[in-house]
Amino acid sequence: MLSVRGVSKRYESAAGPLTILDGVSLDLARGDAICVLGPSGSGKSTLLFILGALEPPTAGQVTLAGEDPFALSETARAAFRNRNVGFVFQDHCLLPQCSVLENVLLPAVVAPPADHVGRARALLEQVGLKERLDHRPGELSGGERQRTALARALVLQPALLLCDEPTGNLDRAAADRVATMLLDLHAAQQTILVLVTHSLELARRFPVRLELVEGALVRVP
Amino acid sequence: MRLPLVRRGLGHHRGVHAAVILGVATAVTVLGGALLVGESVRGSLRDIALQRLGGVGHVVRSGSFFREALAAEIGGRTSGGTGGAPGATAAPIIAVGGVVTEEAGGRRASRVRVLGVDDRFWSLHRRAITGPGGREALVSRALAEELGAGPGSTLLVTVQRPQSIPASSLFGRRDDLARTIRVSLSAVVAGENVGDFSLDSQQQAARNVFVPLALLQRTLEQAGNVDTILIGEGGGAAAVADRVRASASLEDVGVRLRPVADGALSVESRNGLVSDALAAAAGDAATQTGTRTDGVLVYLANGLRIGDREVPYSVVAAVGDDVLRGWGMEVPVAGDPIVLNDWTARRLDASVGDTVDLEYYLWREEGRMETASARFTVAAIIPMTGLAADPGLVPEYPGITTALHLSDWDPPFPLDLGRVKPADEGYWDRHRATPKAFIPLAVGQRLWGHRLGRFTSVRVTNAGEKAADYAAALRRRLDPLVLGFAVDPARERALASSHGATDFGEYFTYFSFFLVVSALLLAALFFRLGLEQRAAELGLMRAVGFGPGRLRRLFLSEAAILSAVGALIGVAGALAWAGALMTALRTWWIGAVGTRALALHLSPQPLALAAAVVVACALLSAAWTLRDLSRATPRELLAGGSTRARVAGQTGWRTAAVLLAAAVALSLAAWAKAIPLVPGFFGAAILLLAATLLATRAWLGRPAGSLAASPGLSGILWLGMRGAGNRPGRSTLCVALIGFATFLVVAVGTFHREADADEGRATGSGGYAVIAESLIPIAHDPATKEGRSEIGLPEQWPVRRVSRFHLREGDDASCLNLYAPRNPRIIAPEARFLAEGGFRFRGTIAGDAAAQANPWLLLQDDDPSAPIPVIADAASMQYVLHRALGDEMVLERPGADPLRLRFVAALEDSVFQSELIMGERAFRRLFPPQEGYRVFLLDVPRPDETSVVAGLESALADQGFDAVATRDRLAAYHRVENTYLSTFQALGALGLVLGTVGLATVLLRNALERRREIALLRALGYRPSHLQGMLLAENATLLALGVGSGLAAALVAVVPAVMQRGGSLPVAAIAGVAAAVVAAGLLTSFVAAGVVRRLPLLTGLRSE
Repeated sequence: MLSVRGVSKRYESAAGPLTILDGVSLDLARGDAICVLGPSGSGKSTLLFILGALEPPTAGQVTLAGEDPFALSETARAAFRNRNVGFVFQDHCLLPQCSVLENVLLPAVVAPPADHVGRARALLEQVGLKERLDHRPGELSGGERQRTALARALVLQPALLLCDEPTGNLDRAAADRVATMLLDLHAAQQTILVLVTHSLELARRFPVRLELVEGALVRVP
Repeated sequence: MRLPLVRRGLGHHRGVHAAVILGVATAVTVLGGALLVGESVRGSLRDIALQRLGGVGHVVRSGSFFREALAAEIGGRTSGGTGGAPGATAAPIIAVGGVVTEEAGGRRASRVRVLGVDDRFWSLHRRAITGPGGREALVSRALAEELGAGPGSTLLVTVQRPQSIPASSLFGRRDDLARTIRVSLSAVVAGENVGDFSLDSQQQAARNVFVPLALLQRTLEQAGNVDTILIGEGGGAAAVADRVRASASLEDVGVRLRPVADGALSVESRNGLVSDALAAAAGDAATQTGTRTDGVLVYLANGLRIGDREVPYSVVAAVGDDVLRGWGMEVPVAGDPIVLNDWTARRLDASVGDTVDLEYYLWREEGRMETASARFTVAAIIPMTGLAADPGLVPEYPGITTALHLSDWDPPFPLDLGRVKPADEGYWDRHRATPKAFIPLAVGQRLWGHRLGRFTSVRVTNAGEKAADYAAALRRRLDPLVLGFAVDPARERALASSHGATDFGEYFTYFSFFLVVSALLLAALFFRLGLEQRAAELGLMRAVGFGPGRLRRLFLSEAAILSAVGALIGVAGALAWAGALMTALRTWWIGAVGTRALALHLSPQPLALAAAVVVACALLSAAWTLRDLSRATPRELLAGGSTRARVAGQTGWRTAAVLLAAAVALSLAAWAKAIPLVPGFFGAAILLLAATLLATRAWLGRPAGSLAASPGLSGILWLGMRGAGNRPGRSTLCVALIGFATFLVVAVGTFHREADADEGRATGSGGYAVIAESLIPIAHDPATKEGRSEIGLPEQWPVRRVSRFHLREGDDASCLNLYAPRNPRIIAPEARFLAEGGFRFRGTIAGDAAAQANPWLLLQDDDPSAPIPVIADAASMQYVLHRALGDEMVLERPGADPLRLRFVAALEDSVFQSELIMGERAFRRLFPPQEGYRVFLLDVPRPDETSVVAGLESALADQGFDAVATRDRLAAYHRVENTYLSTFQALGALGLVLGTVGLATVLLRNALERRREIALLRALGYRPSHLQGMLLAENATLLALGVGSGLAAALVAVVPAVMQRGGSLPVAAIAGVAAAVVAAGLLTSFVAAGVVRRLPLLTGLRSE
């Protein structure tokens, strides 16, 4: 269960305090999937980073399965992220010096021992990269890179899957394919999926759509 | 458009450009500083030499004393004595070596320059100083400090009484040669007042004592005489030589023309021996003046004996056969004939045909007096008239011919007055030294001929009233510059020598080589980083139509401006750096230079040269980096893509393998002694270093093992190592920086010299514990009981073995002397030393097995038509004299042909680093005035050599005996060498600092470039410690590669040193250096990790 209560985020700027998020509240259970829409600078990514325990809120509380990551030490919070959160970024963030399989296994390096390699291979097969395990990111197309990032996000079976414009850099066909895989894998793993995007087309594939308007979440019909 | 673009580019990327400027500035600073140090040392040596010479331009010297008045005649001024004219152009002085003791404290200084001077000396130097007068003395500051003396102190100055008659002849004095003057120190003379006056090329403190000229003349029994004339500046050596030729008298060149009986003249030499040259000149003069000459050789017979009848202590004259025939001698007769005067025949009751035994002394130059005898047949008995009654046949021998009575004789040989009868005294009273017997000249020369002359006089008969003409004719035929006078262009020589034996600029450039390379690599690295940072900008410019050539020019313009700015800053830095190095040479590294009188000399040339070289190198490296631009596509560049060098991995491995093979081949060749050991292994080491760097480059760029096989900590480390391979070119540069520095510090450190633990005969000391030098030559052999008795040493002494050497003073040829030795000091060992062998040799040109086993035997060759074989220490030969085995060295000799010396063997790390060693026979032939032995090697039990040294110095104080333990002498040489190495190491350590800075920069740059990657890893749950571990692994990889490659190369380079030390390796030193390098590297890792830890996570994920 992801619980967000009255989360606000303010930054200090030369023109005075800037409120990005203002009392955002949200409750999501495993299997839920929401899409957050909003123009650039509306705070979508900020919300995502707060949910992913990457950036603390100025006010409010975030808990995942009853645990508040911001109450933890930095070390414990890192372990919390590793255990519970999977990220997919707009530009995939793959390490150029590592192969596809190695990129997927990156979270496993600091996770408790398990058959991570087997799961990584299975995930890569599911995203259609079975034949590209030893390829470097530079040898992949944009869609393939994003599918690799998706496999990396899910390799430790996190409860929370956060996606920041995962199809933003892709053409329509590739974007459609990545979105399908994302939703399929979410459904299969019953994660809590939070996705932020500009794309109405992608948003329409989500049952729940929210929009950030002046720092607050508003349900979109 | 180009200029605005360049200007904007420079401004916008000022951070990374500042780093490029810093790198170039550092290189210029280091190189310019090194060259400026060379200029400064040369300038300082020139200053020292000129200050010590004062106003002297030329020096006229002679092997013996001459008239003081000659100075005025040569200088064109009237001799002024004390109170001479200001600005005199010539000053007569006496300059001899001496020993000075401060009476109250008892402190003693040996090898002191004792200068007999008057006001003319100070006037020549244009100094407002007078004296010293009476029994006063002035001293140089260094001598005052060494003695602990000040004004009012009483000094005992011991000098050698000059001997005109050679010690190697029967009548030469071998004992009681020292004279001591008691003087009161009136003042200490500073260097700027010519207190450090010296004609020698030596930078070490001058120990001078100035005593009144008249006092020294009296002490040396040389009233009105001097041995040196100082000539003021101006004029050439040829002009001075002409004045010497024109002004020197017969007396000045040591020739005496004495009227004897029957209107004859006797041509004699001051040393009692007439050389062939003088005899020839005397003959020529006789031909010109219509007179006749006959050579005469007289000798003292201890006894003329027939049976039990004896006439003791009789002069025997060897005269020409014509004279003997004139006396009725039948020629030939059976056996060697002798003509007796009638007085002697009566005393011996001799008749023609009797056999006479003649007993006489012979002085053996090995250091002993022998009694020899010869048998003659009486050929005639003549009355004591005419020539047979002329005491003028015998030159003046002090202590003998001047004695009123036979019993008053004071000869330099044993005399048994018990053998002298009243009749003998009566003969002396009436006839003095008139010869009692005559033998053929050829026989006399066979028995008593001396290497310095085959006659004791030349008799000019029928001279009569032609005496004056004859004297003038003889003088015209004698060239003073052949008979001992020499004109030394002292100022010109000093200036030439001040170029130095050691080019410090060259040395410091060598020492700084790695530092300069490191700085240039850093500049190149920063330039490369700057370009990589601007890859997208380059891509955009390519996309909008800038061709590769135009881009190259644009960025080269930027590089040129950056280099120029760096060079300007570097020039200022070079001044500061050179100042710091000169300060270090005066203080910490004084062991290498031995003087504090070194000052910074500013000169634009070295700075301009350094700036030009570094800017050219920087532009070349920029061009090399820009080369990649033309290879990358605009798309790659726009994607922030690679400007990485595309060295194919296989090519890298292959090239590395070739270099490795070459290194092995070179090592094997050196091992087999097909090529010299040190260059062979050093070359192999450099090749190995290059090979490992190429291999590193290839290894870093290779596909690595899988992360799949590396969970947990090993996965973290794996990621770190992969990071090092992410930018292989950049990483290899770091490895090169660390590798070079490690190689330098370790390799150089291994060459530090320590005292040789082995004290055997095959070492640098030859097994001798003490080396000594005496002021006064010691003629007697201290190895014999009789010799020790004569010298004044106890009969029982703790010396097991002694070896003696002749000495000809000259320039110190060791690393202790910064000046280039133009006239090196030469020693010559006695024959038994050569036969004994010993010492350790680095090399020899010996052809036969015996000489290869004992290269000293090579010194026995003495072919006057061939170069003289000499042996020198290998270090002096290579670094000071700049010669190799088999090379020749030419010594200019006044009045004689230049002397060609040939290096036939090189000693290894020996006590003989200050001199060349020549065979005794050649030495005696070439340097006849250098008699007796002055250098001694003593084999005494260790570790008691210190007490032995003290005992010997005390016992032989009058001889000015100065002894030192050979280990201390070697340590003094090692100190210089080790100081050079420390200098090299210190500069290498600075290179290491630059390497570490480079490593830290690359690490930080990598981290910043990968902040997005690091942010991602943090998002994926990596803890800060994981990230630190990853960076540490990355850094440790580079560090290990750098240290490993440097160490491997260093270990190869030090093989010769290890071999020479019998297989020991300074493991502790190597481990220490390696640990320091690793510690420095890890420290930078922690700094980089700390920076990474503080990187804002969100910015990293958002940024692109």
